[in-house]
Amino acid sequence: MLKLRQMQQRKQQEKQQQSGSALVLETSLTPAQLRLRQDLASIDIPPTVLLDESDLLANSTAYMTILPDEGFYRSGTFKFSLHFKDTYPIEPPKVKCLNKIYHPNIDVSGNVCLNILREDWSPVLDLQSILVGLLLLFLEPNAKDPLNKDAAFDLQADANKFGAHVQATMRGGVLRNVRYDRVVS
Amino acid sequence: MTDLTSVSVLVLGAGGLGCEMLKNLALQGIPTVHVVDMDTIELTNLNRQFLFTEKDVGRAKVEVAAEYINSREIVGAGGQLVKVTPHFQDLTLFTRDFLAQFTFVISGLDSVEARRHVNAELVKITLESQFQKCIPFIDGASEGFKGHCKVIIPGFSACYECSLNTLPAKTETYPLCTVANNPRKPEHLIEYALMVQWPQTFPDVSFDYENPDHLHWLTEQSIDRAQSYAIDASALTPNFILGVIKNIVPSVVSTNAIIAGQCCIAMTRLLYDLYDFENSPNFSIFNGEEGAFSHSYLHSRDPNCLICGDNKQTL
Amino acid sequence: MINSTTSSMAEKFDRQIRLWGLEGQAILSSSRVCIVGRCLLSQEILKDLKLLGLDRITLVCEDKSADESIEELEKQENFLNADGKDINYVLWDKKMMEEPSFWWNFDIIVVTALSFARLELLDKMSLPPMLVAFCDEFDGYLRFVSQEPHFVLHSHRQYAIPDLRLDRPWNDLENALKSLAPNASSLDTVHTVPYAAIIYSAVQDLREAGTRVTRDNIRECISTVQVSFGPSAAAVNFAQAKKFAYLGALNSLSIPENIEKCLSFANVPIKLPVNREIQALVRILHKYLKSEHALNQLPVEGSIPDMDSSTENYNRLKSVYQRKAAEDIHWLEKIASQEKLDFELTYDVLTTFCRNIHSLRVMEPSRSALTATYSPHAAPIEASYYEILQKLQKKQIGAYIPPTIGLPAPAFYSMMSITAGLTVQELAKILTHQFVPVENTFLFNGLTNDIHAFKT
Repeated sequence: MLKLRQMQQRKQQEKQQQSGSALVLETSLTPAQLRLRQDLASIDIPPTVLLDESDLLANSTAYMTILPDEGFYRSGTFKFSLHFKDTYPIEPPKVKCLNKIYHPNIDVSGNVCLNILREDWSPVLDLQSILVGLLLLFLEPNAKDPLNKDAAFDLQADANKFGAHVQATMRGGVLRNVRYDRVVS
Repeated sequence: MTDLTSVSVLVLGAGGLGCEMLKNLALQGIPTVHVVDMDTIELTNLNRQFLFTEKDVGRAKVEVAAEYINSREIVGAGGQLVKVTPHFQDLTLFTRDFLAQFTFVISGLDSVEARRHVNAELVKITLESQFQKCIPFIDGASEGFKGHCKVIIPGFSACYECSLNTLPAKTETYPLCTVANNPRKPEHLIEYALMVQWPQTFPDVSFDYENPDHLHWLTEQSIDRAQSYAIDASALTPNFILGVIKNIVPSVVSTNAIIAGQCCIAMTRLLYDLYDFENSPNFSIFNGEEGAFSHSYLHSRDPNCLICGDNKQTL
Repeated sequence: MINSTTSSMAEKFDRQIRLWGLEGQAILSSSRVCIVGRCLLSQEILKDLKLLGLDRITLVCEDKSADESIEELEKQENFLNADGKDINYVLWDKKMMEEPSFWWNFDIIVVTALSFARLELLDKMSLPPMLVAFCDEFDGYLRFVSQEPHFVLHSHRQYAIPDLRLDRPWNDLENALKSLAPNASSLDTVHTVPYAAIIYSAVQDLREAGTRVTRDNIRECISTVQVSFGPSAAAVNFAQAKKFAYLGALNSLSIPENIEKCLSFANVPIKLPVNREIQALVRILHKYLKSEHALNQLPVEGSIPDMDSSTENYNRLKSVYQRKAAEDIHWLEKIASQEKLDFELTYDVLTTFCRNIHSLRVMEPSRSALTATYSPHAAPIEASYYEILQKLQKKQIGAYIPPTIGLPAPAFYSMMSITAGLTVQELAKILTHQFVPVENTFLFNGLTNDIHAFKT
């Protein structure tokens, strides 16, 4: 082990010449938390999104609220929970929509069909990518990848009628025996 | 001549790789070996974890492994008997002071999280001690006929976190809308039952694959949906379903022997100064599916690494 | 019928059955192996073989042990194979060992520490397949020796090319592809079209326009079709069609090189049972290709990859391929029944053969354990194989060989374990005829973790 020990000594001497200041390391954060902190430091949040990170350290959960300013879902408030495990960023966070809403790509249990949250996730993606992905889901709902088949069918068949359904359900209306959450103030 | 009497090694995991590593270390005469694992022995381990037999099923792996080796009374370096100390626990609960007592840490884990944790701790030991301490971390992994061996000199060479982006995607995942609306493969049905049907039916119970009732429910749901979508249900055997939900990977003794051996040889090279810290390739990959392919390469340290990057080193 | 013993065996070996299937495990469990030499390396091999589920093992010991200290060896034997009661130990006996019939009791022979003269003796006889393994300091060597070619039934290629026959669809397939075509769909349903139909319709368009059917032209054509459906058709199936566009440019009349090579070995003399069975399948394939049914196209594999589409469309396409595969197997069966074989090729065997037909391979093992030519121009790896043979010769006359690196012997222990692992891995591939064994010699260097292979 002589070579390794010699290399350590050289490094120590180098350090002493550089500066005498001691090193302080954050000791309590896991690698996944460090990565999340980096994500947060570089994130660029548009005015149509609110990010609540207050529960991130205690429960590894962040909340993202989407406030679309155009499209079918304009003036709604849509809240998502993002649960991060120690596997982040190897695995994506588990994302759920906390409101029961009428949307082709979100089912009434809050499951979200978004490629980057499942099959197209990669460790080079980050919180910013998820933010953009969710925002896009409200600006351009996609009838091709439906989770709520009725909503997808409506959007495909008659965009005006779909828009009317969106407006009614966002106010807490009932559609086909399902009561949706009120998401407009 | 290098003195082995004071060398101590911590082995992470007492599975397929761990058993091979423990044997190699003992027969090489390393006097002090510790092993940590929180698993108990299952029948499916016995095709590769040769320190265990049928009668040990249900017992803690580390305890049986330590008993096996200690009972052999192997005379190691300096005439000391090789002693294996078992730790039946979660390795992330080890304190940094505990880890700091070892000369090497060698891992044969199947979890990326545990590796990331130990890697981060070992880098901190180097940096906090201002390079006075440095515990090489040698990481082995195997799956089927493939595997890798990574030699990490914490603070000096690429750490586990530096290579995180090169890891393959963890499991095969399918678009949620495919499994919901256009299932085509039996895997799609299992995924839907697990992701959507279970939480809808039992919102307050989390799915437990060790519970036969849960498994039975999942099988029934999958077969039901197979029929309504005209998908061949004959593939939906208990073994297949377990394989999909537990992400069971194939494992065989030969690959484990090769990878565990590579890890131990890397340790030997460090011990006897046969390792060139500047130029020696630090990572290697093995694939035995077509002939025998083994290749090593130099993976450079990522200066922006969150664990060992330059900003951590200088401040 | 599955009784409790076989199901608990299946559970015990589950993790490796996931590699080579129950059929592979059944072959291993009934194989007879002879290990020659009692040394650290052979004890590691023995341990690994027992874990794989092989229990018909004979170990031929030499009267004098290899130059490893007997103390070390006993320590290790006690560690690895304390329970040696299943092993049949035989002491080297010149008369018995000169008789090929002794060796033909085994499916495979693994030679480890054997004096050079005795290795020469084995090399002169025509024996079952042999793996010759050496380990010396940081070098591990392995050679696959056999007097006959080795057929691989299922090479488990990582990147298999889907067998879709889009260049020459049979009637049933052509009809299905045409009715699924994008231009037969509306804006509402075009995202349910499987990519095979998208590629096929592009191929048709190119042919009608007299344009060459190349991957890039197909891709361009697919883009045009996609654009014609407007921006909302930016769906996954079109992306997949572009990714797999090359499938439309394949020529199913050209027989892949690996299969051509198998066909060229269709009539060489072969003794080993499994190898003979596969060779018979290759001969049947040869006749099949010339038949009026096949018209020089391989039997259809019958399974198709997942494609983004509706369940209904996918199932429809899948059943077309399955029907054709069943028909092709039926033809093979007819040809097989006309062959004079002293063994039966069951429907299951033929099905497995067809399902993996594109991964059929033939390998050429080395004819001799001892051929290695030393010349200044030889590749370094071949030269070092030559050197180790020289060393063996020197050991034979009792010459002292100084260690080159100067570490204590136990420091190299892991090299034994690695070399044993490499040996047993090749053995499992050879016996099961699954995955591709080495062709045919390699050196593992423990100082770099590199493997270099060469063929003799």
